[in-house]
Amino acid sequence: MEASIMDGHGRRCGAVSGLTTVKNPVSLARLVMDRSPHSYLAFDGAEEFAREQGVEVVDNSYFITEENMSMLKRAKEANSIMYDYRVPAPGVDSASAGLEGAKVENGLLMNGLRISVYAPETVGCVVVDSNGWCAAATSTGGLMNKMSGRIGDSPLIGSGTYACGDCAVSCTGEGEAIIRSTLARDVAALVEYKGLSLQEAVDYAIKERLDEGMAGLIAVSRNGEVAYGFNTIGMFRGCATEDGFMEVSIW
Amino acid sequence: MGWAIALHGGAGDIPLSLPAEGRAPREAALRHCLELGVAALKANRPPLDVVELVVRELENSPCFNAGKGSVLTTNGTVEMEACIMDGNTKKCGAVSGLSTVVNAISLARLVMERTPHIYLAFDGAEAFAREQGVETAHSSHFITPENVERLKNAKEAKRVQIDYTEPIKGAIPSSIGDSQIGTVGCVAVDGHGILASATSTGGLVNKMAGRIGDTPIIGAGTYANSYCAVSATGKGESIIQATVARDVAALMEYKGLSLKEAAAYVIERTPKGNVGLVAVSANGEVTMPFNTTGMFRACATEDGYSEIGIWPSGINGDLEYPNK
Repeated sequence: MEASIMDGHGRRCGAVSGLTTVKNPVSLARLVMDRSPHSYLAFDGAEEFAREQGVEVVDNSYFITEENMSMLKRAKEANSIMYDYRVPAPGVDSASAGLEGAKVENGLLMNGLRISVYAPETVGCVVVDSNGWCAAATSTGGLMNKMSGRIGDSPLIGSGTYACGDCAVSCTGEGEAIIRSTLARDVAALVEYKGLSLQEAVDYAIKERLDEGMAGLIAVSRNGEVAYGFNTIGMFRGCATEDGFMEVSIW
Repeated sequence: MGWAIALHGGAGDIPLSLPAEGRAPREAALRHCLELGVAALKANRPPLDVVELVVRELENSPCFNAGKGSVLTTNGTVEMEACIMDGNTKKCGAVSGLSTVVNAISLARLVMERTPHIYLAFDGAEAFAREQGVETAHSSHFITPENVERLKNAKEAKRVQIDYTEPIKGAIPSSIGDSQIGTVGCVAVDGHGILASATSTGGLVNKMAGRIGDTPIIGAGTYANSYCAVSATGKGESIIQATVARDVAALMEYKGLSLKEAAAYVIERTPKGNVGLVAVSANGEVTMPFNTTGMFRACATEDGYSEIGIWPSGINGDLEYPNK
């Protein structure tokens, strides 16, 4: 598991990768930021730091769900890697990128629609307070059937997570595409250097920076704006602003 | 237009009093690597090949904090990391936590070319290395007496040192007086404007096990796109939060700055004493700014310009060269 967190005020950041027993990776990432001289710890070194800090650890089996085990099995059979962005379109029984002809099962229900081959998502959050201070955090288990030791975008500052004086961004989707496009930093750079509004920056980044990659992101600005964008079928999301706006949606 | 190449052997608090034994081998290594890179560009090798071969050479030199000569973690071990990026396709590869791979930069390239991923680390990266049959060696290959000494000094001083270190202030310099400079990198562009960047390092002296720095983080220590190629060096934590390499390119693209302006802008806004970088643009320009005392560096362009340096231009280190 991996995660990162960034405080736009001062651009302090912390990240972790390769965790297997830490219950809340994002909190360990925060401790890396607050209590170590470094920004990023991984694998054995990160697990050791977790124990030194006394964070809650559990057995590896705590994290593993039956759905993921069966999905891994099918991914291996299809010899594919399953992206965590797949969300079926409304009215469609299943979306199974790379699993052509896979048997559709009666699985979870989400908003009344059957989701047969649904892989859990990267999670993230961006916040701005009434002072205009922004922060972002992202956490993930990565790609189903990834190579051992594979690091994705979520713990990489500037790719999956970024926050500065102007805005905060958290991304989800095809990690490799997000890294190549340094997606989170690009949204902020478009605001900071090109003077785009938050929504313009988000739209531009999604449209122009991903090439063939599939991804989505959420963002907030120092002015209290919220924006999101994705070039996938859907992105599980929720947002709210102080003036009463609130939205939870998938597509 | 025309080809250009720049390489570095690390930025840091390099004292003007650096003795001959510390200075000469590093300058010779920089010169040798520059010549190799220039010859490869003249032979029309793709920039991606050029940056890899130059960084391999820098890794193999014990003078620099990468590959052989890597600084040690708090456990006395070596954890090497590297990153390579092709500006033409924006494909990239990165590795961290290597302890036996002789040339981390080449493994990073294999991650880029032979896996569906970008970044592999620690046990998984070492396993991949064995699958790929790359050259590996026992840790004793990488560890030098100077670095054992440096770790000892750092522990005594109880501080984490930037990868160039000076002996404790006031103390008589030890007989191993030279201090190794950290991180190596190379950027290159060919006559068609194709860009590439590569960086490799052993990290920070006395770092925590598992600590990852800026080098393998795309956009922090390494970046290349169609505008420029950048390789940064210095205090990893500062480079990460400032997304140094990406910002140079972003300033060019989004704010219309020239390569020199963009690089200077980024360096100025990073805390003093923390960062240096080398960069080339699609037009064959070169810049090598730093806000540390010095940066081991070298560059050359097709129109015949070349430079090898340690301190800012105009500061003649020879004046304080004790044995001259």
